[in-house]
Amino acid sequence: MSPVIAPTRPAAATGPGGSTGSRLVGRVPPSVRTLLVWLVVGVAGYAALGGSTLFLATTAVIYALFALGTSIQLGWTGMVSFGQAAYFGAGAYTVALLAPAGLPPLLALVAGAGVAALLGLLFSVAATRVTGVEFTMLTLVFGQILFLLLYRVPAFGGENGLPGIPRGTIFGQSLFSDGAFWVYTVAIVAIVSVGIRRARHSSWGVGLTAVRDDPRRAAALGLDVRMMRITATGVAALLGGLAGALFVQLQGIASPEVMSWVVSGEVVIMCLIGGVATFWGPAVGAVLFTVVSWSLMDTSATPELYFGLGLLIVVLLLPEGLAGAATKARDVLAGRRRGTS
Amino acid sequence: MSDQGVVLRATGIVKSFGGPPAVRGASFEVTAGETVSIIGPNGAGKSTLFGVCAGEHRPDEGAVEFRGRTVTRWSATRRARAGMSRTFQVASFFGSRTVRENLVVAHTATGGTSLAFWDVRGSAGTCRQDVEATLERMGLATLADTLAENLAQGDRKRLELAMAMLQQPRLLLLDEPTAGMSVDDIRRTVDQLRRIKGENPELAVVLTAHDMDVVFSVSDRVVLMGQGEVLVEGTPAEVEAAPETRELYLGTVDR
Amino acid sequence: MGEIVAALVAGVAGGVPLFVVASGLTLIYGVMRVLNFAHGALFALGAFVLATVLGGAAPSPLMLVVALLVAAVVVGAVGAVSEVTIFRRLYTRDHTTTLLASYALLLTLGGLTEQIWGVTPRSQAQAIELAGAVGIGGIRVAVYDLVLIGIGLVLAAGLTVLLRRSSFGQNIRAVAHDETMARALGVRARRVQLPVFVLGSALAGLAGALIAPLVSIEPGLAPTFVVQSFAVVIIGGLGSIPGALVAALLIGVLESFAVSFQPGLVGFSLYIGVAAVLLLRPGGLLSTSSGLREA
Repeated sequence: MSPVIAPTRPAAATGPGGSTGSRLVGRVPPSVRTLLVWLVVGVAGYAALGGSTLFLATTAVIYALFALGTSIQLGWTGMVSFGQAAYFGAGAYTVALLAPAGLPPLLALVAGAGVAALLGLLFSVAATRVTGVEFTMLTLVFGQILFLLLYRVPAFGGENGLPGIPRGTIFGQSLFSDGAFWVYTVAIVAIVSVGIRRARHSSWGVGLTAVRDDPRRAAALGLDVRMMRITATGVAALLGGLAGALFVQLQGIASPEVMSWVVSGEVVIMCLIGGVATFWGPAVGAVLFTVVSWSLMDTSATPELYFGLGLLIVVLLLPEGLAGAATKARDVLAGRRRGTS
Repeated sequence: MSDQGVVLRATGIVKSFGGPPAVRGASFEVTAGETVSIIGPNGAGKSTLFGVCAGEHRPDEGAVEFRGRTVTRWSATRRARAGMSRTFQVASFFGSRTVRENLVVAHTATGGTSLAFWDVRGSAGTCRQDVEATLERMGLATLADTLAENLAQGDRKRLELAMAMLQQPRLLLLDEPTAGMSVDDIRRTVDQLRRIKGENPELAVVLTAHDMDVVFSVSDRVVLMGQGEVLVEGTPAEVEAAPETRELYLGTVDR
Repeated sequence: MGEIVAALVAGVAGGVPLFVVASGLTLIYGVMRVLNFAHGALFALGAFVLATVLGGAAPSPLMLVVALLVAAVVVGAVGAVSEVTIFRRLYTRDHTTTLLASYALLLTLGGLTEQIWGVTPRSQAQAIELAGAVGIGGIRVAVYDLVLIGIGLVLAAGLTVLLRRSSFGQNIRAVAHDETMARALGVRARRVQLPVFVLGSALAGLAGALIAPLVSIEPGLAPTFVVQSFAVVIIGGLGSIPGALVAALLIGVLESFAVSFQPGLVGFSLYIGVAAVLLLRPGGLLSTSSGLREA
């Protein structure tokens, strides 16, 4: 069996036997590198983009956060969920419902993420009684229930959603301009990314990958497999909710589409396009997906067709995603060079 | 008999899988520092009894006690945390990771599920030291960066044993530790078991095995099972001499 | 009382298309361990094919039967193509990969359907002979409901005979039980996998065609029905055809009762069913490790 959820490549930095290359890069801690990447992205975006492209870039960064969060569940823990939109939507609608209270934007984000995390924990406590395909089916059913509720409960505004959500003011600075909101978004995503980056190599992160690789062995080592799966879902939900909350602040409206199963599928696709084996894979996939789908929306009436075909190609030909393909290409090139020299 | 020093006690274990019971009323115990082998022909119920002890199966009747606590209904996870480490008949490890990483996972898992999101393992506490020491002691140092799935059969079993020992268990449960091994590997495994026992005088070991040479060279006591019951229990010499053994094995012990 | 019986009959009839679509899904899962997300798209395709064949106008009952068969055959052929080009390559890969491939196929087929037929909902008129209602013992029952119940009975019986009595069914059960063992016994897995995939897909197409006269035909049918058939399969137990039958009828009846007596709950009954089953019997109502052994 070759899992599509590709294992992390052997990390060279785990012992004195690590390669010299990684030791050089290793002088800069991963969390600092993560911050630097976002700093560059933030500055470059602020300087180079404006208007609709900056708006698109902000959307892409929010989706990157959504994908990074989802990859904790999908990539690290190996649980396939087609219900992630439930958390994204929960974050979005929480912010929208709280809008009349006039909360500061950061507090609204915390509320959105909190509600989503609670939802994720509740759902996974029930759903982790089953695993594999049955779990996946339940995520889909769960997502659809919430989606249906948006239309049935009058407070959610039905088909029209909840419009008129202000971006608010932070540290005396209005977020109304797209430039200000860009900085705000990138700063939040950067801080959260550092956390995810650290968690990846924490005891918890290591435990999650152990559960993914071999649940029976993990249990025999004393890991509570179900608890690991529940916490992975909870954290993925938290980050999904945060992304949804940011999304609704950006858009100014919470519409039911944010909870549709299409969104759930899209975030899984983002993770897989980029590849879940690397930390940045899902984020890169999200940016790529957002940009490509934006251009397809303009040119094609049926973007699903192309998404579908693209995903089929990825699944059939590049099981480790673009990052995996890139790594493979590098290995092949390196091997050839070594062979000829 | 006093409870002093009893690490594992199984009492009146009955277990069936829908059909006739695979184990019907088996009892045995292991004291600290002791190595007990469960032997018997195929279908004698030794794997089932082993599984009941390891928490893989829940018995229909009977009780399992570990260091004075009843663990009959405990999950495998909880038993592992309490100090019962095990290996599997088909060595089980994280194939897509290196030998060293497997040990890091085992170290991280010791003591249970960690919800520490922030501590980066490897740098944390004694992890690296312990892992390197175990690699050295178990003769896996040269294979530290090999992917576990690329290991040879004997090394796989050794890795599993190393993972178990890294957790500093009170009780080591070894399911067929020499199954499928070459004669050389068997000898090395036996030596290793002896050395582990030497280094950990308090460690109790339960193992199942087919290979009588292995059983008789590492065991303090042997439990012979047949048709789900304990037929004979005693020192290797006593069990070897028992008529039941001859009857069951028909000369296989004499080779 | 009469109201309750009427709701019951309507519910059973409403459960039939659910049973047909879910039996195909569960059959494919039971044999190949492929949970086909694209099943919903195949269902929608069945409805579109029927509407295209009949052109929306009221058909004669004979034409309706012909169109139903055409829909089943066309969708079965689409199933064959996807088995050969996609799923066959993935049987040895893990479930996740297959799941993603089937999701990709769902998007692709959904997009193709939209490309061909557009997004505007269409409707298909009922055959005049089947459009009315008849009174049975003072209770008014829609004629098409009786037709659906009849078709459901025939299909349930047919599938049971196929799986339990025919040698093909024996092979199917052997492969579902243990593919390696079946191969060792001389069953050629290929000879089972492709026909089962085609049969399952054809059932999806037939279900879509059966429901076409009752709903507005649009690409949105795919997600709606994939979720509903998933719910049926979860409730009935993965891989169990009798389970799918029981669960589909249960959901049909619950929905129908909701429509008649508690409109606020319409659309939720299957989710309530899923939640109840999950909490009380996580493996499904009639689950075994491989339900087809009993099928």
